[in-house]
Amino acid sequence: MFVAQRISLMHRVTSITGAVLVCWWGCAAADSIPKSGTASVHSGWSSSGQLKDLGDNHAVWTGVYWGTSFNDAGKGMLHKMAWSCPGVTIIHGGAYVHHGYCVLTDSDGDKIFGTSEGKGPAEGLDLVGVVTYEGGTGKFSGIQGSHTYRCSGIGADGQAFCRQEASYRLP
Amino acid sequence: MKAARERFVLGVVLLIFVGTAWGESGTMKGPFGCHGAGEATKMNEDLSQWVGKFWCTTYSNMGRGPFHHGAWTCTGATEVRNGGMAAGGGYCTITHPGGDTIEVRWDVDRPGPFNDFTTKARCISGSGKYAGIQCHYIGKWNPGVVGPDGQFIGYIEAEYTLP
Repeated sequence: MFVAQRISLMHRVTSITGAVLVCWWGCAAADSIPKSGTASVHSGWSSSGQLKDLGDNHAVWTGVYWGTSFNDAGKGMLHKMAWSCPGVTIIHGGAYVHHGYCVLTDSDGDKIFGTSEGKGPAEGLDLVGVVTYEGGTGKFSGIQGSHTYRCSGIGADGQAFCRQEASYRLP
Repeated sequence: MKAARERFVLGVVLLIFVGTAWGESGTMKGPFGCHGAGEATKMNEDLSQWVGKFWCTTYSNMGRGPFHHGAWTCTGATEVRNGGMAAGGGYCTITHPGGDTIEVRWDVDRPGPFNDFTTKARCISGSGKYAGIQCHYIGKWNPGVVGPDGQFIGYIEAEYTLP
């Protein structure tokens, strides 16, 4: 289903992305976060990309997922962060494997970088996987850890809802 | 014993009647996350117009209701003055996991910088279990968070009534 939604995105014209809604870093400073811990997080997503049919039940989707996340506690790790995750999804016989790379940005402009590896459909969901942190900037400099994600697609415009369970450590 | 049974039956009938006549109503609060894509036209040094679409997702802190797990597809035309939201409006279709939809009209309510303005909206139609819905909500972009790729984050406070 999630893949089917992406197909509809082939015709979407993405021009100047958020031309007016670009960085406005006058926001209130984000809460500081503990040096280590866990977090339960929910997030919402939209996506845009292109699907290439390779024949014989093989296809490849390339594009970008954009997300916003909220810590269930209303503060802390991954709360009110903006995500950009370009990636590729290899589709074969109704199953798919996703490889991507994410940058998460908070209201201070501090970032977390990480690889994303997922697959679907699985466990009644459209996509499950893990993002492994490879570092960050500002308050996230040197971050280690990861979070799992479990996503369900919705609607006709490539949107999805996900849950994340994160574990991290800062130097 | 017979009188007690009659009172019980009458109570059940009244409950059904009241429930049917009043329908369901409620309030909700929840986070609002969006991603926008469009084109900006600069009119002069202080004024730009942005026209485009944005895609949002909402959660309700109640874990249910017409805006919980809603996937929004919205149109918008906004007036940007001195680096802030001055005016604007558009329409959204909210799709739920079952495929039922709600359509809303939104407008900028209180202008301000991108991290501190509000929008207001009202339901104009619905389908499936949301047919006949009436609602209004305030979108609070305070303190908003704006990501580097057109993401923006706020909170929604809504009231709704279903027939």
